[in-house]
Amino acid sequence: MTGRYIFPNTIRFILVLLLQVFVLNNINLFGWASPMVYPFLILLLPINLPVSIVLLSAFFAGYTVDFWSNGGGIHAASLTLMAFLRKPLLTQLMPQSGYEKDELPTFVNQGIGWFFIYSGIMLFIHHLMYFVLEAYSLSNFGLTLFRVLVSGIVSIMLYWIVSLTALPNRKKHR
Amino acid sequence: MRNLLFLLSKIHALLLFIVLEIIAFSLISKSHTYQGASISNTSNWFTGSFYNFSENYTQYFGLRNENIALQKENARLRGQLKYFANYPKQDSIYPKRDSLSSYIYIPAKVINNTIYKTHNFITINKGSNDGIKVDMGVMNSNGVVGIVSKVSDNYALVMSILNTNTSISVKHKKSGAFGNFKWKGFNPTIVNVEDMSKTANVKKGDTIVTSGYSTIFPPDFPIAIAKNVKTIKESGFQKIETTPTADINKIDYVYIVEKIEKMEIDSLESELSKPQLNDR
Repeated sequence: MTGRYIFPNTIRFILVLLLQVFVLNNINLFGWASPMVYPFLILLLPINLPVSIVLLSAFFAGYTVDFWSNGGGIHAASLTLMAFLRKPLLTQLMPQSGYEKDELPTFVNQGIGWFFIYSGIMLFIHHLMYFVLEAYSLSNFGLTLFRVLVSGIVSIMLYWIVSLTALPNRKKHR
Repeated sequence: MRNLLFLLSKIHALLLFIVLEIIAFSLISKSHTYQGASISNTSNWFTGSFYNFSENYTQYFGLRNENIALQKENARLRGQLKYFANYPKQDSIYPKRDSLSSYIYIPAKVINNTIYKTHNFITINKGSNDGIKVDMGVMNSNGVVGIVSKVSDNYALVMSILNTNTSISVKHKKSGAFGNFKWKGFNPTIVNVEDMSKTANVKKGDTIVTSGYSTIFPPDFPIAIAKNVKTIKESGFQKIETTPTADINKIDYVYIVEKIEKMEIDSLESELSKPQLNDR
């Protein structure tokens, strides 16, 4: 069933995009780390959701952030790449028993270690693409990589703080 | 036919991915073309009016510092007024318009600003309706802020000095040697001055000012203070790191500068088919 995902996910998309555009885009830690939470919108979509829907939501979310932050299309391009590689990564990380139907890829459902690897790889792909496109060149690649790592760590920490304080600590199937 | 449909259903995700990426990349390349008419920037009316709305509420946080800055500028201008009061009358041998009065200044408010990207832009609340044009200089009372790169009816997008594509012609105040003011990215408090001759002998703490070679900024306006100077043995240049005098992170109000005879000079120069002396 995909129908019952639409409403809560739409609300979540709007709230997270507002948070990203009007709060987080104005924050930069130490001068080079820009926290990004909007990739988690795509990360946390139900595992069985068709890839085309994931791709379209990723493009939409990325382009919304671009629209508000002079990005051109860099957020859209990097988030779409991340969304495309989500399915192969989920297949690689599949536990022996397989995924339950309609399962959400959260740390409550899959365990902290699993979620850490999953979100780490996904965010690395997204941030790498984003910062390479943002610099618009491959010169100074060391600096770009540094930005990827620092921003990635900040983004993950931010997600953990939000989810540990704001989400109920039980198995969710929403 | 059935095989084709089967194939399509297998790779439709890949096809969709490729199509979406092509759209995204065409948007990116469009946003990187200079003066390209882009729909996705904060100088369009939709995002512009929204940022203007939110700025209306957040501007109060900076009022205290803004007052101090205005007071300082008032004091400086008062000092200049005294100087000009002793200036001879217009009908004497002095030129009719001096270099100061041939520039007009349009005040504007910053409504959006970043410093941590490689290509940083500032959105201001004045546009073509207020006489803003592309390539005008932007400064505040402390120093140079950037150059206007895109204009809509009521808003304009400014390439800040913290944008690796921005290059401004500058000069060493003491020796008068010329150079190029260019940000390398990464650290917003350090901007390099390139191609300045070794003979200028720049020392730590020296002031770098605008050269006036370009028509964008008035000459001799402070832009940065030298911070680290290294002499490279084999080359004829010094490696100069400077701190911009305008704190881009904290700007709220700016002036857009226009030289009155800019059009005349520019058209004359292009007629001669010389390489343009623009800051770009």
